[in-house]
Amino acid sequence: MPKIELMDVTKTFSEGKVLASDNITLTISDGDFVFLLGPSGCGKTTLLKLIAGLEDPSSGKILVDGKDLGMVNPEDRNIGFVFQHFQIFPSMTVFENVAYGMTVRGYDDASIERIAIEALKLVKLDHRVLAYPKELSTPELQKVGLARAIATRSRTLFLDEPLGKLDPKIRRPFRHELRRLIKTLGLTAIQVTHDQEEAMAIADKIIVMRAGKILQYGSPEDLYYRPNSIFVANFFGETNFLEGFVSNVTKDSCTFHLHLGGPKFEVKLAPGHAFKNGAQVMIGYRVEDIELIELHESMQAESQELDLEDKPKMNTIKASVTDAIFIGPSKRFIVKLENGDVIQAKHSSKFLLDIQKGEDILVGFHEHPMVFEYPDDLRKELSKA
Amino acid sequence: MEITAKESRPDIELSKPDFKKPQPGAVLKIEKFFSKPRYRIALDATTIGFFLFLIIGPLISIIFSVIAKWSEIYTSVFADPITNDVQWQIMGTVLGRSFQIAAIATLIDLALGLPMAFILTRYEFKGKKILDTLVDLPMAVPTSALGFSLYLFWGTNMGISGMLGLDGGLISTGPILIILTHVAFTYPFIVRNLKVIFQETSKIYEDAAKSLGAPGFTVFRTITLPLAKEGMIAGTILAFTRSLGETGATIIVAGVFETAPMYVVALKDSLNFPAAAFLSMILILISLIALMFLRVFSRRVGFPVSRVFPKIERALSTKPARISRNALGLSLFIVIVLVPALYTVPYVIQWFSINPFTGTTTNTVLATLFAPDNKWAWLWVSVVNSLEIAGISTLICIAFGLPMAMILAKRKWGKLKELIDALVDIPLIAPTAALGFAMYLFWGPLGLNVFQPGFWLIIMVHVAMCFPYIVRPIVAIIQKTDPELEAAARTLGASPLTTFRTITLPKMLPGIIAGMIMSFTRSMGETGATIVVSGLIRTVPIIIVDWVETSDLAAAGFASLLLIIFSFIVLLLLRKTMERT
Amino acid sequence: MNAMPSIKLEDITVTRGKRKILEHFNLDIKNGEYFALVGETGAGKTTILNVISGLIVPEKGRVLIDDVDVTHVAAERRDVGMVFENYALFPHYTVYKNVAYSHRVRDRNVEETKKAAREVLSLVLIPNRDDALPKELSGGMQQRVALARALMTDSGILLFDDPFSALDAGLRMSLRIELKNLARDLGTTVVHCTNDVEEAMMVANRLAIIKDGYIEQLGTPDEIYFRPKSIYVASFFGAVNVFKIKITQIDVTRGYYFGIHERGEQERKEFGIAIKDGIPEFKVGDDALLCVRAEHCYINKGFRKKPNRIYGTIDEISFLGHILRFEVKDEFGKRYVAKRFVNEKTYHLQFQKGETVTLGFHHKLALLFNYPGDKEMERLEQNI
Repeated sequence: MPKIELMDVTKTFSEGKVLASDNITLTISDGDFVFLLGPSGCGKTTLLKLIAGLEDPSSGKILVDGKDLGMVNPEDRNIGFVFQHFQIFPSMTVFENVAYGMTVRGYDDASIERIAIEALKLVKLDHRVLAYPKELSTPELQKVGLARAIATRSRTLFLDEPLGKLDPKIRRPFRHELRRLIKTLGLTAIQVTHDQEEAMAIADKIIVMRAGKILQYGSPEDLYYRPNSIFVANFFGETNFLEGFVSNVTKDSCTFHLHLGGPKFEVKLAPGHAFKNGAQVMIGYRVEDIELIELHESMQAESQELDLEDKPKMNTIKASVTDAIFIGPSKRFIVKLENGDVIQAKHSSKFLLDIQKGEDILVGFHEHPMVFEYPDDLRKELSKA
Repeated sequence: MEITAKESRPDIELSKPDFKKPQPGAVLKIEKFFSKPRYRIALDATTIGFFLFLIIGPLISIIFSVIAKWSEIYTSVFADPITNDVQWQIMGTVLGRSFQIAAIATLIDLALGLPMAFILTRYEFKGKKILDTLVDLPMAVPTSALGFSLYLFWGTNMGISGMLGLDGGLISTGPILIILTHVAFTYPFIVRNLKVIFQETSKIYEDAAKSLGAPGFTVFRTITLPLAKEGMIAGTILAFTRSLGETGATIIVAGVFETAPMYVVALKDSLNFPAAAFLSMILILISLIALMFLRVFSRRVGFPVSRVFPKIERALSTKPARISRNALGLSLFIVIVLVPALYTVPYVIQWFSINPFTGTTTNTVLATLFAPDNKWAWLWVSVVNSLEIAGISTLICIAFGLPMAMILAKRKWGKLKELIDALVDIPLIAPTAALGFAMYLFWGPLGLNVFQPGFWLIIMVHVAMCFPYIVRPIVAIIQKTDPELEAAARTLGASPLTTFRTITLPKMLPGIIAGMIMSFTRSMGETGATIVVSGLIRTVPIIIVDWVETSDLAAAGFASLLLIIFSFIVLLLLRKTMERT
Repeated sequence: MNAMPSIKLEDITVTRGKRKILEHFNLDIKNGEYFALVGETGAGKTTILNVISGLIVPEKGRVLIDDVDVTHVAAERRDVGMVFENYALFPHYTVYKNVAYSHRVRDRNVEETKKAAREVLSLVLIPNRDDALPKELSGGMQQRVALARALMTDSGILLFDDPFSALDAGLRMSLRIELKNLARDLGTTVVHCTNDVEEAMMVANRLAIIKDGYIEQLGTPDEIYFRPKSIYVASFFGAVNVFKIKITQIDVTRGYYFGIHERGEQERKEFGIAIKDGIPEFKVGDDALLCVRAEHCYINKGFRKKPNRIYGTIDEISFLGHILRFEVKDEFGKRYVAKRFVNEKTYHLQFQKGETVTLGFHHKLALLFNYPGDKEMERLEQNI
């Protein structure tokens, strides 16, 4: 794939009233499966289109292999683009749709037929070659869009929320098939989505965006375990956030005081942190990291195959279980801490924890939560939702 | 920020095409060549230029000539040595009449049209399609034929009074007949407009209201109407201005009672050009103001929705109330609109060869047509003329209307585009006679002197009239089409022109055909402006007017029948095309 | 009217044009129950709601609310509170007017209406936005206004048509819990439609899986998950591994079926499945469909040739936050999925792509269904 550079790119719509991209500087070279992830309206689709050359930046430059993108027409770039609403040409058959990219480039008929059938075989639609779009189901239409983009033999694939229109039941297996297809063909792909589960499940790298800016970039694990802001932390998975302040700050630890009064934790901090005594902070624990300890015996919701070298130290707080809900593969607990904060815990239902609604338990908080500064203006912003 | 990763090694690759480089055919190459921006700009410029020249030119020229010849106009209208400001007073009177008639006709139309539109959109029943077609019928009847039909029905003893055994017409020519005529011919427009609005207003809001306990009538008043407000106001203003500017049918049914557009024709005929220009300008200005009003103020008008009258409205929503309401709307439609509009048909059949009153052949269709003055030949000449004019005008309209539609739908020109969009609608609203006169001034002996009154001037006028009829449906269809469809084609390597040919055009085709059909029909039925510029050429609508004036009713009836049959066939064709979309 | 009425649909048929959307449809919802209808788009969930509310009148069958036949009672008199998929808040009315609508069209006392509206709005936590228009509110707030409006009806029945689909994931989760608690406190009977089975499990006492206008299965969350009646229901919760097996032995005393999965000469796998309630009865020689949920499969290094184990290599590892998903490919190219719960400590496992592993499951967690035929089997295997 060619090297794409965005230099200080800004994109506005409606005569400057809508800022879709805000001074973005980004370089993408031979890469894997990259995701643009963010809430609706964050500018991810715009960024995708800027990279693909379907939109022009309002200011800044986009270079492809050193050449200014503005000088090249989209039709000369040979990119594969899969659109959100499929955009399958309704008056053409499946075959004609898939063959379109080659037809307008003037390939010979034999090649067109051969390549189109190959592409359709890859998405397992070779039995519907003569059907018209209106006869196809939604997943089938999506496959036609994929085959059509692949048939251009482009090394780069751009995908704009391709799975958005599918039911959850179909979406999950489909996304893995999508990844398999892209990896099999060795393509570089950039996909846009608002679904964090989708991004985590199949991306190699994720770019998290908000209000036209890039917040963080990394692998799914990076973003999940080392988010750089409350927003990113909140965006992935489910987090229990506890408000409070810190004291006894050293270079790698501190004491965290829950704000509603009472309990304190021992918390380890990342080296190079900037917290001061008395700073207001928010600490976060993922729902699967909350330990529930029955008062009469210690039970840990661990996988049975694992040996831990040492049991980590736990902060414990008394609490009571307000609700225990079975949700199939997992069980969800709603727990009220002794200081009044309400948190949730989620564990595999395989080890049917016998913890019942109304029971009094101990909650275990490990020593490595996510810790964020929580100044007043951030509090105002977050409470608007 | 930099994103790099290792180079990926594919497990499979799609096979390569046979040729080293693809060989685009000639067509693709040409399309790629002409896709360059400079050709698109050239096309845009030509289209806009044509439009300005054709439609805006005459309008501006009339304003200029009024200003230029102000002293002449002032004298003739306000300060004539003999009659003083009588002209001005007459103008005031006819303008006042036109306004009153338009207001009354529009109100009646709304009252009759609302229930009908509701029936057609919210109920399912056998024969709905037939009712739908019947409602559209008066639109298929060209204005002069319509006027004739109504005149026949209400105003002569061959119509309803004959059936009732009365002598002479039930309603003589004059304001009441004019109102009835205007009601009849704007009815389909209002119903269509309301239908579209009711269909767009999401049924889900009405469902929500029902689930909250609101009876049908309350739902209609508190939910449907307010949400349909904007569209309704637009439709009402359109109907109002159409009535204001109607000439063709009005001439036939007005008798000696003159409306403003009729007076323009009269002034021109009596060679009082300054006064005619002045009155035309006033009429055009009024319609421009109405247009502005349409666009700017329709959002601000409110509806009273706070008060709820549960008991009354519940009573009005019961089944018997509903049925009687619908029955009333239906029967009024039949009696006031449908039957009179189509009355020509039974008339011609009845009077074909035998005079039903006297039993002789006097005043029958055959007799009048084949009388020594050879009306029959004249009829066919005018039919040929009408067809030629309609055909040529439609072709010219398509040639410039298609690029104009593309401009309106796709170019991002901001305020400039809004202006052009508004201007395109002018021929729809401006009174036909005034527009005709403006074009006569612009192109004719008193202006550029390019065209004398006659064939080509008629064509220019018809092109101006039909332009919006072509542009609007195409714009509508483009707007309904997903723009990403074209983006998809371009990512696949198609140049803009190739995209247009393979993707956009097939999608637009129903809109183009619909536009062409509407334009052709409009041209065939155009009367008001044509009268002003026709010179010695006769088209079918003009000949109808002629023959009514000479009381050759049977011949006029036959000519109307021809027009009606033609329009009816075209209407069916149109519906078939629309169904395909 | 009773505050928590029961709802009964008897032999309902609804057609649109030529298509039968519902046919001989029966449903029995108890007093005060929170009931969920789960199904894919087009399964008929909205139609069922519309039949209950009266917006659709069925061609055949009866609708009973608290044992009273209301089949021919118009929607505006059934007074069933409904929250539509995109809320359908009247765009030209303020929050207050929206919420008060149901009372005003009945000409209720204005003071009483104001009071009730205030109560209901504080219940859904929007106390001070009376004069706002819907378009000024965020998605979450609009949803609450829609809920408040529905709560102002009297029938004691609330119908939710996919009420959370338009919201962000985080908001969805918190609103589910709020909604569940609210309904429980008010004691209303609720019917909640969704295509997300997890959502249904979180909020409902009982749920029904709907497919093409029919109920595939109806039961408590427990029943649906552990004793699914069909592979369709089973696969609603995520990836499942499927095998065609032939029953070779039945051990009645200890309660096991034994079977083998064979493909030609080379492939032969052995399985033992515990006999449980709900599993159809098989004879030796019968074909059956063995199904194991991905989350009930575990992964071990190395290979142990025992029943209920597959030997293969790890093709792909996906990180889903609290779950790791493994795709394992066996020597014949067939793919299997295993999911395991992780947290930050346990995440740092020692599995790599390409490693040879054993994927196995416990005999008590396997599911058996009647064999669906070769064509269907092929489709199921493709859909992993």
